[in-house]
Amino acid sequence: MTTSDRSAIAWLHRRVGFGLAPGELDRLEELGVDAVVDRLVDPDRHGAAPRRDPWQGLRFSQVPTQGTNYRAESVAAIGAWMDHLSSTGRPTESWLTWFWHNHFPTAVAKVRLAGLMVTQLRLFQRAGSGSFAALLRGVTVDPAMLVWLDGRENTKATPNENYGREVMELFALGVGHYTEADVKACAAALSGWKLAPGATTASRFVPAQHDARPQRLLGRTVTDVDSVVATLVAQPACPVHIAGAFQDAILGTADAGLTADLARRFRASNLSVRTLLRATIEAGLARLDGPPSARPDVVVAPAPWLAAARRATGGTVSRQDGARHLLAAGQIPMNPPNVGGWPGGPAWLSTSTTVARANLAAAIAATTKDSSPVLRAAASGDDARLADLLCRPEGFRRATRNALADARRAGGRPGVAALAVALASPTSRWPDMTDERDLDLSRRSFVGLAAGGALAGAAAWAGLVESAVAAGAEATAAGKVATDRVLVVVQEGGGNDGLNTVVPITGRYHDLRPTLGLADSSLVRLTGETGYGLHPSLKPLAALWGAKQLSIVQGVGYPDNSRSHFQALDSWWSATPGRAATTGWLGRWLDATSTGADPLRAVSIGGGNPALRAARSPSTAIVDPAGFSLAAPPG
Amino acid sequence: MSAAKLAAALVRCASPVEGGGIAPPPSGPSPPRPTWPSGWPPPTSTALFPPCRRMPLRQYVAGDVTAGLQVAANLIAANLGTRVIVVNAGGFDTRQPGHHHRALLADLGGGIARFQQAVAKSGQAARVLLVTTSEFGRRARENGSGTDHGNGGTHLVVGPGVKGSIVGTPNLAKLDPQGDVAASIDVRSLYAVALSWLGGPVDEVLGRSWDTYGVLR
Repeated sequence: MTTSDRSAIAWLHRRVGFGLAPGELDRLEELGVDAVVDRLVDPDRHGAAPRRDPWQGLRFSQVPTQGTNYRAESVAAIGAWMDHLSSTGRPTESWLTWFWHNHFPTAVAKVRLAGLMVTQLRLFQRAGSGSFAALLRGVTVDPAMLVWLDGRENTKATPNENYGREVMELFALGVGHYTEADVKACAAALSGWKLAPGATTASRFVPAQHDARPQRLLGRTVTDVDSVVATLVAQPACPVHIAGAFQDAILGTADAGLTADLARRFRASNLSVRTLLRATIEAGLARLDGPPSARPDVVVAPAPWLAAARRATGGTVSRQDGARHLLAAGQIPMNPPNVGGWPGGPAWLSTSTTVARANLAAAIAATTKDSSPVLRAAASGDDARLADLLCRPEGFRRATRNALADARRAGGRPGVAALAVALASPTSRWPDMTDERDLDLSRRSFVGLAAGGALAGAAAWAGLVESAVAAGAEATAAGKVATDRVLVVVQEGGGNDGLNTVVPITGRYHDLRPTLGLADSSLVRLTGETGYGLHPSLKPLAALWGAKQLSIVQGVGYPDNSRSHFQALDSWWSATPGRAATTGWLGRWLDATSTGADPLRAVSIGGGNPALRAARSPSTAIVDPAGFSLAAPPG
Repeated sequence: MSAAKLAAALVRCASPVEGGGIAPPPSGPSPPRPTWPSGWPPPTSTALFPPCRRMPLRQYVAGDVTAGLQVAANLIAANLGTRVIVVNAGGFDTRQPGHHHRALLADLGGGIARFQQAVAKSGQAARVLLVTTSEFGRRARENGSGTDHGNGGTHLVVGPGVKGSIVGTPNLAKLDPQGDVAASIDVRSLYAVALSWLGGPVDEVLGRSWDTYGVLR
């Protein structure tokens, strides 16, 4: 069977756009797939609406501010962007802006000036489909990036490796394509960039703080930002790295043969992003006609999902509510968790994010007007029409149709419950699953990050949690005292400075740490111990040491540490350094000891933790401890 | 119908499990808050932008450790059969000036001490072991304002089950070739300590047995 133009166009707008409003699919179908692809990929030459600035009319502070200005400006900037994504007339240009935001992830939480974030996003909007070399050069000296990865602190006198490392590891090449010496060389050549005084839109080069000595980077000689960028984009690994990122984002696959083909075309075009984008889209369209197993699958992230839901329904949420739900779902635009971007994929199927998605779907459905075609279809029971309006002309799968039938019996304003189900349903849009068997809980294998894979998984999880809570209350009431041992793991994300935590009392320490070193006299003394003292902030632990309830283990690591956060985290969570693994050390313990039906046996607080990834055992992730409530038993 | 009720209803609709419910969603009427030992700080705010974050690797949220351990202590006291709790804290990538290592350690030290008090108060202390983890230590030589990525790290093991000793050394006279503290104790030894506390199996999880350096009693 050949995929219809209508299905193909809908797929394009799900994958490299933000959905469609009622009526849009009809008009685009008249254009035909080829014309639609042209318009998406090259909007100016194919009659798309002119570019709009999402932040037009907003004013941003020029200097860092604390408290309300910063917060209010950030909320306004994020809200304006979300409004734009749900109404853009240039969907793929907007999608590329979003893609680059996740490729060069920068967070306003550290940048502290919404205006700098907007400047960076405008760069992505303007230059996101042109030459990758130009984009990389732009982002390397972008003011928000100079703050985010400490480029502005990187000077001849005090080199800072942060950007020099991440530009190679995450942005341009991928781990394994450079050495530690390359990191140092790259950082040195990029030193001397600062924010222009008083302006939020510009950076400047300060020659006096630049290390002008020629550096040897990846076999070439570099001295400045231009020679660094030229060297990076000339590496064979560069087009492969970027092509892999496009394939992952658009197709949800990691097919090495396809990556090689895309990379070859990307390279032949002198790294034209538009060429790579078109090639990836065409590969996706070709696969739509293939067997189901070859059909591209991705899990749509919360913010793009919200934009598409708003576009289809005309429903909305207040900026504060939207922000709250997105926080619970784990994705605030302009605030990625770290330089690796949002975890993506199965991470969006965890219990916490599933609950948040249900809440958001309910909020959107509740604000959808009775006159909306989507709500009318939901109320009338016309599932085929509802699916088409939600950018799924191929219709819903059986599990969703069954859920919709149930929802129509739920009462309330006609169509609202069914619309919420359709928006949030695992077989509808987020996640965009193709295999109905995924809903069969008896076959589902839980993974640590995703205790459940869908609403159904969340409900089953919630049922098991309810049983566990009830059993716990009963046991407590009966006076039973648990005796099983408990392990609590505190993950200090980012790499804790051990030498300034438990401080060696030696002159050598002060030689290495002339400014950060803690004076011996300031250290918290450990009774009976003369070689070490605790950081003054750790004073509360002194009593535990005195009671012999604190042990300290030093020099903990693993062989061949690459100094990459992500590779190091992989080694730590899997406990199989140097070897890829699908399970974490705690997940394997669960698999060895759990019944498979006790999701509270292991709980991760403050987000999921891959150490809990198991082959068959559920666990529970709590993204936001303050939003999670579990009443302790009385007394 | 409130959004919260609807969310619960629609999850039931989508569920093949009869009577499946849902954990209290974050919207709608507030469910009862956990009771909490006096002396603990209130739970961390869920504000969109908590006041004090700077670091790229998961922004520092004031009180990540304390707030997480607060939930942990409640879970342990609630007889839910919970055996493993991971508390994820961020912000330890302290490479730039103005970093908050002091505040991070205050959260860590204060959080752990209060956690121990809470589990002692609920009569649970004897069955709990707490271990810290982190992806690496930091460069021994500072970069002028912070420290770059390093190698061997320092970790705490806390609870009545430990001997109360210092194991291993960050030998500053013999740094590794990058100028970092050497990784002289394998991370799997730290995990072997944790897994032995849980009653194993250690070898099955870690591939083989690992020296536990006599950390536990």
